[in-house]
This record gives sequence, C-alpha cells and structure tokens, in this order.
Amino acid sequence: MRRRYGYSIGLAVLSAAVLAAYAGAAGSDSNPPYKLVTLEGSTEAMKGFVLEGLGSRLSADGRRERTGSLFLSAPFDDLIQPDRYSSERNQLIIAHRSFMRGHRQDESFYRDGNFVIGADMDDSLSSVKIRILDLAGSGSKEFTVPVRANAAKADNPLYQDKTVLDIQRIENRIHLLVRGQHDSPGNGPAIWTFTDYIVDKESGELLQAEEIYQTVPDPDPYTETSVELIAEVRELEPSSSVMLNVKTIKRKGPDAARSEQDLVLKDWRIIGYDYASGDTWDLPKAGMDRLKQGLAPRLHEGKLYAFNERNAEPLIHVLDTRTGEPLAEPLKLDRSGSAGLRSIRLEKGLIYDNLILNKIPTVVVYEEKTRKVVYRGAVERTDSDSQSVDYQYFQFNYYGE
Amino acid sequence: MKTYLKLVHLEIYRFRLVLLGLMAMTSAIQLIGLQLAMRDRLQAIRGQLTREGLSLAQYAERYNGIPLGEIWSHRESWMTFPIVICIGGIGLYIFLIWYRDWFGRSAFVYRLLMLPHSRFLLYVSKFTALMTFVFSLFALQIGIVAVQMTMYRLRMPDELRVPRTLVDTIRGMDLVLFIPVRLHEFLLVYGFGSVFVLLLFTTILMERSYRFKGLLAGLAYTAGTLMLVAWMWAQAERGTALLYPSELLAAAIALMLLNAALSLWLGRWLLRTKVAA
Repeated sequence: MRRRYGYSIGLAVLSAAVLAAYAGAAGSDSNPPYKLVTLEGSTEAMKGFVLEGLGSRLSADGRRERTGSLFLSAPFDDLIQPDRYSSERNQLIIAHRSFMRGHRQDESFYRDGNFVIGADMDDSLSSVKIRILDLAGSGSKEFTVPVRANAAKADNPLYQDKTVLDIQRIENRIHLLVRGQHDSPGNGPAIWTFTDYIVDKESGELLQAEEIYQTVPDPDPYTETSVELIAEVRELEPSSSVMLNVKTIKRKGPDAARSEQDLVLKDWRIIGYDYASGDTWDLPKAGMDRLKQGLAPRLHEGKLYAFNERNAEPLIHVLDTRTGEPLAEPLKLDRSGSAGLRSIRLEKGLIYDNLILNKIPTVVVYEEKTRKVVYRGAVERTDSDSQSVDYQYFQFNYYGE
Repeated sequence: MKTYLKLVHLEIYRFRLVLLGLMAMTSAIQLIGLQLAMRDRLQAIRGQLTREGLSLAQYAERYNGIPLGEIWSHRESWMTFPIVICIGGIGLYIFLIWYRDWFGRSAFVYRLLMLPHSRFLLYVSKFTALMTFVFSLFALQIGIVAVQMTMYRLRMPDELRVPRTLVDTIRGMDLVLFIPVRLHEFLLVYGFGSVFVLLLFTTILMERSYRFKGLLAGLAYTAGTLMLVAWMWAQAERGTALLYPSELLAAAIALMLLNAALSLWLGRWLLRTKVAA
C-alpha cells in the first residue's frame, strides 16, 4: 500500500513539511531586528511618530513591526499612507469614521476643539461641498457653495482646475482658500488664482470672494511664474494666516533644459494673507534676504521658519511673518554624517531633526522656545546577523497616536 | 475516504512526469541563473576594484554589501520565467484534468462515472490534486531559495555578503508575491486562486452538461465574478467609495466564499444529474 502510493504520499508529506517549517520561520520573523533606543530626554515628544526603514517601523516606546510585503491586501487599508505632513487625517478617520465615510480623500480638512470641517471641489469645478461636524454633538451638516470663475478673465478656457487648499474658521465664517488654474488666451503660460471664499457657517451662504493673488502672464514666452502655498505645516490646525511663495523664473531659451543652470530667478515674493482682516502684505527685504540664502519657508504657529534640509549643518531661522525680522537667534542643528539624508519637521512648537549622526540614523527633538533637546534617540540593530543600520536612511513619519 | 485518497493519488500519478519536469526546469533555470548572476556581478566588482585601486573591504565600506536580492535583480527574468511557465502549466491542467478523461485514450470517464461512489468525489479529488501540485511547487521554490542562499554564502566574499534569514531573503525579492511572508497575504493569494479554480471547474462541467451554451454561461459567471472583485479592488485603491477599504475587502471575501459555495453546489448537482459520458 505504502509503496503503491509512495509518490503521492512523499510529495504531500515533503511539501507539508517544508510549508510548516516556512510558516514557523515567517511567524517568528514578525519583529524586525532593529529598535529605536532613547539616548536622552523623554519619549513623550515622540508620541505618534515612527521611523521607517529597512523594512521596519520603529517607535520610541519600543514598539516595532515589519512593513512592506503587501500586494493583494495593500489597497485595503482604511488609513491613508502616512507621509510627512498629511497623516493627521488618519486621526479623523479613526475618531470620526462615519463623518469621513466616502470622504477620506477630500481636498482639505480643518479641526478645532468644536468643529471638524471638510471641503471638496465638485467635478464640474463650479461648487465646493462643505461638510461640518459639530463635536458638541448636534451632528453634521452639508452645504454646497458656488465658486464661479470670473467669466471675463477665464473666457471659457480649454483647461482649468480648482482645488481647495486650506480651510479656516474665524468665528462664524468659514474661509476656503481655493487655487484656480486655467490657460491664458493665446496659449500663454497658465494663470493661477488664489481666492478666499468666505462662507457663513450657519446658512452656507457665500458672503464674499476675496482674490488674494493672480499671476499675470509675462509677454516673454520663456518667463514663467509659479506659486506655492505656505500653509500651517499641520494640515488640520487653525491658522490665522497663510503665505504664498511666488517665483518668476526665466529660461535661457526655447531649447534650454529645465536644469538649475538654465533657469534664472527674475523675481521672488512671499505674500502674506490674514484671513480675519483680509490684509495682504509682502515679506519685507529682511526676510527675503534670509530666504535667498537657499532656505525653504515653512509656516508654523504663526511664525515663518526658514531652513535648508540639504545643508550638512542647517540653521533653523524663525522669522516674523510681517516684518521678516528674526524672532530669535537661529538654532544650529547637529552636523549630519550624510548630507541629503535628513528631514526636519515642525510640530507643536517642537523641531524634529531626523539625520544620520555618526553613521547611525538618529532623531533629535528640540523645543523651539528654549532650544533644549527634549529627546534624542537612535536606531540600533538587535541581531548582529542582520543588515547594519550604518548610513541607512529611515523616514520620519507621523503615524498617529 | 479511501476512494477519495485513491482518486487523488490517481490524479497526482497521472501528472507526475509533467510535475517533475516543471520542478526540474524551475530548479535548473533558477540555480544556473543565480550562478551566472553572481559570476557577472563579481566580475564587474573585480573590474571596478582594479580601476579604482580599492580593496574589497574599502569597496564594501564605500558601496555597502550586496544582498542576494540585488544580485537577482540583474537576472530577474531567470527567476520569474520558470514561475510563469509553472503557473501556465498548472493553469492549462485545470482544463486537461477534466478533458483528458473525455478525450484521452479509451474514454476513461466511462469508468470514473460508473464508480459506486458519489461522483462529487471526482470533483474534490481533482481539486485536491491541483492544490497539491501548487503547494509542492510552492515548497520547491522555498527549497530553491534555501539552496541559493547556500550558493551565495559559498561564492560571495565575506566583505560583500549581507546576512539575511530565509524569510528576509524572500521578502526582499519579487518572489514574495507567490511565496507570501504574511499570513493574510497567503490566504488572499491562494484563497482567491482556489476560488478561481472552482469557477473554472464549474465552467468545464457546465460545458460538459450544456455544451456551447454552458460554456458561455460558465465563462460569463467566471468573468463576472472576477470583474466584480477587480471593481472592488479599484474602488479601494481610489479611496472615494462609500465603503471603507476594509469593508470592501470583507465584501470581496464574502463574494468569493459565496461563489466557492455556489461552485461546489453547482458542480455537485451537474455531476449528479447532468454530466454524461
């Protein structure tokens, strides 16, 4: 009997044995061979943050898990892939599951102690759907607010796009910052508009549409203006103002490649806008001169931060958004062991510096006010047989508390 | 039970030469492929060492070590080609495992359908045999990676070697799609694959029962199910559907389970009442 069926029995038993051994090995391999070790300070500042690299996700409180290796199941995660600044939205998905149902990917959200507000442009680009969740318990309501293009200026463009970039609530008014883009007459470069649509929170009535800025097409076909929004780095947090980073770039000629050498910066402005008063202003020379040292501007808690992550030893400048004057001495960060492998993040008055320090992936957290290091941690290998962490870049992400 | 096991053995035995052929082909191509990939990579490194006047230790410090997965990436097709052939071979045999009984020598189906046991045993034994083929190839692939790791340890200089466990090595290769390292991925890949086999079995039995009309109905049923699952997947990926992705996954699993049950019931009913020699 056994000899007669030997082939089948052998095949089944051998396969089952290999699969069982593999299942055992895969099961015991669920923890990555790395951990984030606290070297200084408290892990409180690292709550919700993770380092991701070498197939692992590491938290300061000792939690660690494998990442990757997902294929069929990859799109079936309710949470949005956390990245540098947008993952706060995952907290909304967890806390307000029914409010966020079908709206995970809406363009913009706002949250304060009383309300969560979401807004999304409709497909025809003629109206914005606003949804308000009252956290005091009176449920949610929806409004559809028309956002018409200025017919005289747009003149039925062939291409146009509109996006709600920012939402703020000032007392009983909701401010929607909408970026519009349409082609200019005569096939010139695209025209960008930034408009603040002010809506009554109770009735949903559009009270005012305040155009903050619009690009003017340059007659020179090789000159282009780009506008980038500088909003509060924490997507959902209230902020009384926003800024626009307006750069006019000239290409050297029609065939010039868009490499750094072929582009000349003709004009650079940082325009501030105050939601409550409707004031706009240009960042004065003092601030612009500092930014022209090759620094990137960020807005956080009403202050303008300027730094360059690519510098081996970056300085964090903190400027007044109206005067451009420094609010404090620049903060000097540690010298990175590998320029380019660094990310800086601002959150709740803290500065998170993710860098390679003495070959090792390290996170240092500074308190902006006092300049003190409140946390310092480094990635450590727990198994000497596994890949070394030397010069390995770990992404610093907000994963949610 | 004894009849069922005998039928399973019969099906495995009938496919033994093809299965052994697939196994031999996969082992030969993947092992030779790695040998060639390592030879090419080491030759390139030696050339670079001579040009730049570096020692192996200096090279490793400057460029890091070379993991097994990276060596494979230079001859990826040598790894994937045999897998595609195996999938194609098993896929084709889903049809042949039935049709050879009708159209093979001496119309074997006469004898099978006359057995004094439930005809559904035929269905289950053929399905079991196919799953045995799939999982034996799965096990073989794990074995091949283990052998490749040994080849890598023997051939690659210490300075360039990146130590990895078997699971970690598989995780770092595209192969992980076919040999998942996560249980839920394994259940999804092989669960959905099994239901697909059941849907094709139903299509074959419908064709045997109602000929061309049955074939059309079976194909429409299979295609409809797959399209529905693909639509759910696309909805989850777009992220704008009313259902959350986890709910869409639950719905897709429920749909596949429902289809598995329907296929089994339909297969049993067709074999009992409609299928004739």
